Amino acid sequence: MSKMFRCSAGSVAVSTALVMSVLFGSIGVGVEVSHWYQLRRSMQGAADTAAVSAAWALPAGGPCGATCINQAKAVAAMNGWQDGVNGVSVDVISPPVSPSRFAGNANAVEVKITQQQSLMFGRILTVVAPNATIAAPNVGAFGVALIGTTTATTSTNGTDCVLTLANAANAILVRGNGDLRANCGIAADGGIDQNVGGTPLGSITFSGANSIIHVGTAAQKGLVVAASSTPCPGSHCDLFTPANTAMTGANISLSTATPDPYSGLSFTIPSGDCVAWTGVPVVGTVYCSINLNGAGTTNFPAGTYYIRGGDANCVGFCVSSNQSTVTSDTAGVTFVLTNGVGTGRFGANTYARVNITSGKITLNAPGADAAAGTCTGSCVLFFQDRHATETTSLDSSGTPSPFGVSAVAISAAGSGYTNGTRTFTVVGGTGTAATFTATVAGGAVTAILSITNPGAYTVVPGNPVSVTVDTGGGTGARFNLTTTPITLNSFAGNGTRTMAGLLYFSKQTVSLQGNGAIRGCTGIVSKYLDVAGTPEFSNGCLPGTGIGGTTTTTTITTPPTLSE
Amino acid sequence: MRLLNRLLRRTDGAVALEMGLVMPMLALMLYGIHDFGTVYVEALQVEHATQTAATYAYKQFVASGSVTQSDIQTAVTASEPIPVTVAATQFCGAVNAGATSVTSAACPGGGTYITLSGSMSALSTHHPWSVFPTTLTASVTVRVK
Repeated sequence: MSKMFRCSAGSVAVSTALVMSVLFGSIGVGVEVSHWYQLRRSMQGAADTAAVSAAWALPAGGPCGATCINQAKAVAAMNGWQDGVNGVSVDVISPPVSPSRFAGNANAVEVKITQQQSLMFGRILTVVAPNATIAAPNVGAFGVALIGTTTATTSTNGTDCVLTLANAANAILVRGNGDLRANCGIAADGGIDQNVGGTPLGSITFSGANSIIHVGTAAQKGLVVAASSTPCPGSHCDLFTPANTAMTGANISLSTATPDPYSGLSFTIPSGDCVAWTGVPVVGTVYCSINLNGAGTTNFPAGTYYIRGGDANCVGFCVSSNQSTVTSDTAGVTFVLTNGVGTGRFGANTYARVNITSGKITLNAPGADAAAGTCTGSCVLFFQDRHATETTSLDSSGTPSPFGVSAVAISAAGSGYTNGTRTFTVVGGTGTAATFTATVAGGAVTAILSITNPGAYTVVPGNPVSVTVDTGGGTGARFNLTTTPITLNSFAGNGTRTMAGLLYFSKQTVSLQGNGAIRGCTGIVSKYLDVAGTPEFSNGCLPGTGIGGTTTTTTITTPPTLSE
Repeated sequence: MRLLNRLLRRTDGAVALEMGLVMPMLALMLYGIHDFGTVYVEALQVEHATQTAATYAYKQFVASGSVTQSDIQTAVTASEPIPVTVAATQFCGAVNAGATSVTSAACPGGGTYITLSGSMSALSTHHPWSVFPTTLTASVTVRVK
């Protein structure tokens, strides 16, 4: 035994055996790990091409459906990595979840290729160190591709120049000898109202044997209505050209509401109280009213004019003298009508309106070219605040509801009221109650101070009205109210009004009376339109795509790019 | 005879003799390892070059709507350290039912694909009895439209 331990023969063989096992083990591990890296490199290339290929089938915003997934898997398979074969897994994920700059982007797709590896040479180590945990890795790589998106907008100009938004059979009311002459289309199909549901009623109503409309041309579907029952075609309905030609059914179309194309239009109104009209227009000024009631010419320099609430002399923009001539610079003007400031008679509840009863008026909106029939600017001539008190209905005489209090007179002074300035609220009627302030002396009302809220009545309380008081008791005071329609904008009387551009009164009623109510390259958007005169419209000077135009925006995907 | 006996008993030069016997085996093994390594690296390079060609072809096709074989070859030659020849085939294809392949289909119903096939003669010093391939190839297919 001791001889055997002393013997050195075969020592090299033993050393070699030991060294060789370590050497082969190391080589084996090296080769194996290298192989995994090489596999991952190959997977990376396949994942990238699969991701880019899948992205061609990815719609903008996702999801990556079956077509997209199959596209990725097919390309991965062609490049050597087939899903489900030899432990290969090809996962197609959109939006990507792996860390990349496109992670979470719905326009991107991730392709992840993984394969569980098995040990080849590494098994030697399990023999050498049986207790060690030695496992082959799950080798994988992912590629991410992104599609770009751009939008394309195509526009078609509208052919209408009259749009009423009320969902009512008399959205357009033509009375007496009224003749609505439109060398363009007329849309009375309900606009905003109709969009909130209910039966489509928007249409045109004729009142008077001679009332008539002239619409568009023979080639156009000139009249757009919502109601299936409409008085046109009929004796009241003619074409504009050829003259004296009756409309046919081909000239009428039913619509589920032509949208108000200017519902997004807005103006920023300078803050602060308004200033009184001096007779000399200054661009950018906030006037309480613009009241042109005398002789002579008033020319408005190009720019924007603001009118807050109106005042005791004028509801907003008024022309009342047949001696008045009103013009604007060719570059154009815009009148913005909004509510008053403060709590007085023409306070926050009162919106400026238009009241033209006479005069010779020639106004041009910025960019509106009447001669050429084109619009190259904002092309807004009158713009009434969209918060303005809304017309709720129009009666057969063309008077819009609601009514507001324009004057208060003392009928009975009463007794027992608290002395000082008292605020009285009108009792009765239907609608928003009017309030006013008055002076109380000796327990009795002695003087009316101001109307703080004109109210909005669909049924006006009968005079004399009783009231409630803000402070203390008191009885017996009675008042006589004068009420007027508070949503009426009139273009009436003799004279001529040649206008170019948009007249926007989306919440109220526009009344066109007299021979020269309005004519020109102009368009109206209003809730109701009352026609008792002979206005004449033509198309082309409206902002944007006009009325009844369409704008279609489509999303176009651009070729995929690979996340670097 | 005595001389022969004496020589046989001598142990001098035994290591040299063993060395002489083992050396050819060792040399062959080393040669094999070198050759394998070289071919392996070259195979990787060919695959990488083909993927580069695919990336170039894709980008060029997207940018200009077409790509030429010579442009692809020029790009690969300029960017890769080895003389890989790349052949490009453009075809209209559609994903097959099992999503395992893209088969030719009518244009323009399906997508447009380019298959890049890279090949190169192995640069390692082969002997005829070598088991390694003499031509290294790789193929990458990508949808370009």
